[in-house]
Amino acid sequence: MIFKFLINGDEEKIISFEKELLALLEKSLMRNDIIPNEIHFCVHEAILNIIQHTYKWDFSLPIDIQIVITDTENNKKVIEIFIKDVGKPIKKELHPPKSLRPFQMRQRGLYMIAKIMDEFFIKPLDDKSGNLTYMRKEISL
Amino acid sequence: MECKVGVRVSFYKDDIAIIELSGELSIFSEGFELLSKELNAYIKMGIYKYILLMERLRYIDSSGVGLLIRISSFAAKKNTKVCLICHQPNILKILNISKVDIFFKPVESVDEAISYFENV
Repeated sequence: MIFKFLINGDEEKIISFEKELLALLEKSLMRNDIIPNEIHFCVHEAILNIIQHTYKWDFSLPIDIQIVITDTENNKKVIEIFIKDVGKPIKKELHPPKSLRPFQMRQRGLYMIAKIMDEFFIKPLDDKSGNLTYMRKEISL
Repeated sequence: MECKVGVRVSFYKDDIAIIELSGELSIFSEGFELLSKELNAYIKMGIYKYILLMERLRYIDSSGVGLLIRISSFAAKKNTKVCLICHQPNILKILNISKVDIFFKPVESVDEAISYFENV
């Protein structure tokens, strides 16, 4: 299953997308426990990271989101999330911090994504037209 | 599309702030900025004893966690913890992975929280 979204414009569109996303995750992953909420949280944090740091709160710029859910042979589902922005490309691939200081504020969202997902990084697009945020998680059914 | 954080604040003996949060504590939530300013005001007033009631909070993001860090770091400077009433698994998980849960004292009731502060 592949789901594609394009969000831009204002906060309302992001909020609307996120509501839709949670319903979609619950249905596609066939569970309404903490897992869809965690993935929803990671997508929210990734979008927030782009809005805050790449777009500097310019809500008019587009964010392209693709969610791919595949079944594995060992009765699991793999969810991959590709989020593309059109902001200034970062210089090199960014990985989240491996630890946090007790009251550290910066990069806490990235750290939390890394704790939930199996794989997570942000890298500049090959053509330097923006950045790709990639997340992946394997889910037992 | 509604995305709102509900806030109700009361005080016990002038120095314990009892803050009930409901809805969604996200940077996109209506009421987030107001709550942020309110917490800053309490810190400036020197309030460091907080009881957070989060049973009706459905969602929290890293910005919301940031607000909680603000009051919990102030409480820690005064050698105390923020008392937390919350059984929501998704909220507790976020607090746990963000490593802020260690600055909270989980309690079952406001009375238990008040007893904690009176005996600290």
